[in-house]
Amino acid sequence: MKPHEFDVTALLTQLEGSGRTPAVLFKQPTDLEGRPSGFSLLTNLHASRARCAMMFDVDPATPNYPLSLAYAAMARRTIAPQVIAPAAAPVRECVWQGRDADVARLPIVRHFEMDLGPTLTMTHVMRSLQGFYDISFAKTFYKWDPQRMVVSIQTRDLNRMVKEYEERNEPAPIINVLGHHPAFHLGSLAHNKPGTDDYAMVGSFLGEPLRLTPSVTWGDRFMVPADAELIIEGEIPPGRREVCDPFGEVPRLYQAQCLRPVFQVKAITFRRGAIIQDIFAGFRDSFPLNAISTEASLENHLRPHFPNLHQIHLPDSGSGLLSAYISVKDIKPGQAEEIGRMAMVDTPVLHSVIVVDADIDVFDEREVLWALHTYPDLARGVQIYGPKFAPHVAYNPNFAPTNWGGKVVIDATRPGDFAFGLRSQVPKVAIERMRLGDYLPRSNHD
Amino acid sequence: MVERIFWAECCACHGKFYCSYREMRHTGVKLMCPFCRREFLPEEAASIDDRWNEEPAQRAPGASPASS
Repeated sequence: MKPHEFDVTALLTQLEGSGRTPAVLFKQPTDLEGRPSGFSLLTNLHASRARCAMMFDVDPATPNYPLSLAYAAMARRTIAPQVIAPAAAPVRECVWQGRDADVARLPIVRHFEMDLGPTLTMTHVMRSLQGFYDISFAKTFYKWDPQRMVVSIQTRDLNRMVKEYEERNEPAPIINVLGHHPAFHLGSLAHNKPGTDDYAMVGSFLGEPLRLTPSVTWGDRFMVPADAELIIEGEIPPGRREVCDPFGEVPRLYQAQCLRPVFQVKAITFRRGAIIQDIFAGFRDSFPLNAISTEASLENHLRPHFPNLHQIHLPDSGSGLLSAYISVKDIKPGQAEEIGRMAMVDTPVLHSVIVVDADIDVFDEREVLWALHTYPDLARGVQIYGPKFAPHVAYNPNFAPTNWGGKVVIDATRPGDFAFGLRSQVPKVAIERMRLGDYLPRSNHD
Repeated sequence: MVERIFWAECCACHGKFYCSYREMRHTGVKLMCPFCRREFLPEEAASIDDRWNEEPAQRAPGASPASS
């Protein structure tokens, strides 16, 4: 299994094409030189919402809005991290430094045809000079040099931290966490205020304090997750930029080639038998990641203003990112537009918001599209906004290939201010009385 | 807004890929072909497609939006 020659993503594409979404563990992937790497490689972990529910001890039988609500509750709390000695830290069981710290010894996936090369897709951590840590997903590109990579930093907090160190002309410490408890990675996506310490925030998602230990390179000046599978410690030299991208991003478009900071590798530490994780961006593995965290953020942001809010979903068809379906009970005149506008202020990357009644299941796209095609008066139920609607969205390089700046809110609720038709339905009591299994064997239901 | 990009055709392998116009079209930075790793200046590309939709250009920050 050669991850750097598309072997992994070729199989994942076929799995997804056949409608299957298992987590996939490759037990003997090669490193970038084609040698046995000694690591395992885990991917497609987030391709199922039921599996994501299990990461947080939520019943996998309720993987839709109950999971979003549970995530929203966890995002409102923090648990202070706990420090342990390096000798007790699993991630310090094995340490590569100097010439041994060679990233070509890792199994790194090359995902898509036009990608610049093999790319690490998991979370990075940086520490602000103000003292708080930020955990964010970012891509790190292998540059055919054992100890030099390029990191494509796009997030608000990481960008700010790189700038802080560059203004002092100092190298910025950064780590790449290539595996941890799944709640660590999914929890890191919670939308929070600038200055929030993500190590404390992630504790809430783990349900216990995140254990930290001093790094190999900077000691207790930079603490690292003690229970990580593998960590690459590195530094961003001030002012240096190199070519990175293209890379097939979450919205299923390649990010254009550009210039990004250098990641100078200092050390690689890992637990024995480490499992390295990867994300299959632009496919199902990446959709629930964004959808669950954004549904939770919108729940926390909208609920205080709209108590009649029912459910929110970011569908796969919008990459779990670009479109939101929001259902509301007993909607009031003008409320759909208010909800849509507020959702886009909270989540500027949204292109569209479709508001439906509570009897429409926002997790069933056929129902949402039925409402969209049936209910709206297109002359007044569609609000289109220009790029000045939310000025802080003006340039979002993360998804710039598809960020037009225009946005739409569609009120697809049943008109209630005049006599209007009713959606047909079979009586519920009849459905409960007549059991399909009594008439057709289960295998013949389709 | 949509980022302006340009397509480049590698002068060695003729693979086509795209780059940020702002960061790489006229900045003296060498592009790197993702297919064969050849590094070359945009002027050395076998072909360049840097056409641009004027409509989004008019929407640049500071310009008048089509609607707001």
